[in-house]
Amino acid sequence: MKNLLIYHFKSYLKSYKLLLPFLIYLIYLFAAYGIMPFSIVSSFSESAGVLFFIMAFVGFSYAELENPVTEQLILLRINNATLYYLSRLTVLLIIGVVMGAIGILYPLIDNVVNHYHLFTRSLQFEDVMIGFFLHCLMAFLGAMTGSFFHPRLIKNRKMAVLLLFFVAVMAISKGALADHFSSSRFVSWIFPPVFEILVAFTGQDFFSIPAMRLPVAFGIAYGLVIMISQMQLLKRSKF
Amino acid sequence: MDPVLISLNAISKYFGRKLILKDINLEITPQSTIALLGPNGSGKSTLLKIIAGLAKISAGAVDAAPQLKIAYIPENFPKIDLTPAAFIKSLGLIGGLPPEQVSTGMTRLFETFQMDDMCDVPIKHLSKGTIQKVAVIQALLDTPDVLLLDEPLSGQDSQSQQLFIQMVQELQQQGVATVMSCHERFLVKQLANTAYEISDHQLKPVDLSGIKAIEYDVMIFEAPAKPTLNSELSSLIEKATWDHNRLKLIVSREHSDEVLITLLKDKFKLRTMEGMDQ
Repeated sequence: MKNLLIYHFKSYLKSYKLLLPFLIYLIYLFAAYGIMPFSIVSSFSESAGVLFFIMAFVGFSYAELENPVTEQLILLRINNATLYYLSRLTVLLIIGVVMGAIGILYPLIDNVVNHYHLFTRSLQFEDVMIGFFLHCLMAFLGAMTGSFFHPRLIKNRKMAVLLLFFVAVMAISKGALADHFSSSRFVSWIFPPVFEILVAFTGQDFFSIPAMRLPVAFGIAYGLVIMISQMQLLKRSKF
Repeated sequence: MDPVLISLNAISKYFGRKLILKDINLEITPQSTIALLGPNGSGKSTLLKIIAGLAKISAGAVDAAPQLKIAYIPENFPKIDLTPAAFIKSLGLIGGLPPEQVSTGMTRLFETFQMDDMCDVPIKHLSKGTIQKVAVIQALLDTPDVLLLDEPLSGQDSQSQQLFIQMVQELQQQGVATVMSCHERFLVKQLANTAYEISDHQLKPVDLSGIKAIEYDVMIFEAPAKPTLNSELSSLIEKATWDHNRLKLIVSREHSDEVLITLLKDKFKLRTMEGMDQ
């Protein structure tokens, strides 16, 4: 597993495909925390929501980068397709955690630089931990959603881009859609539960664990289901 | 009786509605040296992938011995960002080889294939022939049970071709089963005891005695400003490789005079011509 992870990291970092989403996220953080003060809960929620989109793009570009020939050569070496696909997705998860850490560290440092006046109230340890967890969860959901549109699962790449865009937008806007078309609730559960998680913090001054328990559990379950499904589909589709 | 390493039983393969292979039966044992012949698109590469367990089959069954080590030389190795050294090292370690063995094996193979000064250049910047050497080196890093070769000589210079043939022959002597797809009949002569042609989606045995009698000439021409290769020659030429304005041909000896005369008439200039070492 260790050697597989090193190989995937080397291949991905050498391609410089991570640079653009990384810079976009940094620019977002710089712009978003430019005017103070902020509500801790809403700013962390918004940053996590943006990270969902960024990681959906990262997951998609990472899947695009996978070369079928090198994939075949490695599959023959390890004789374990599950391990191979798990290692690829683990790399995405690690990138998601690093991006999540940046999403939390940036406002923390900015807060110190601004003499602890960045937020409307003083930052607590729980804010940092739950905020970081929220970022990681959104990164996980985004990465798994983006990587699901793998070239071997959806061969028409224009269609894949459009579908990913549609799914990502629906993930965050399905609540607003349900307000106008209540029947959309019957199908909107198909999309990643980004709205359900973020809405749990709307108007809150503090992160409330009881309020987030159910949507977070659903988010984790959703991410795991699409993660396992794409591994199974890739194993079955072969070359 | 030799143990069966891989057995294909009544394999059929469709791409969509298009039938590619039908009722293929094949047994691969440690002594197998099999060549698959046939025109482009006949299903040779697909059959190799089925043997490797990499392609889905539409009907039939593939039975393989457990813990089988299969090495595969693809026809078109991709232009990736990693260097040959980084890629080969990663592949060796991923395959569970000890770091020392990977390091010594890599160094030996890079030297043998005269790639020492290119092993730290990103693969995407290498020439087609050099990239194909990377494909060969990754397969030869460890001794496999079965070696699958998909058009293994494409783009390689004659020195590398000879070296490659020699290395595969050594592996065959060690009991490594080889299955290769190729267009070059001179390669069949040197690396296979059994040959099949894929025709009408089925494997048809080829009489190797006919192939073994053929002798070949290698000719290198300098092309005129706007070169056009006479279409009538294509059936006479075994292999044609362009390198800028140089055209290298492998032609069976019985056709070499005809090919030579036609090309000289078409303003090509002969630079070298020699019999092919067998």
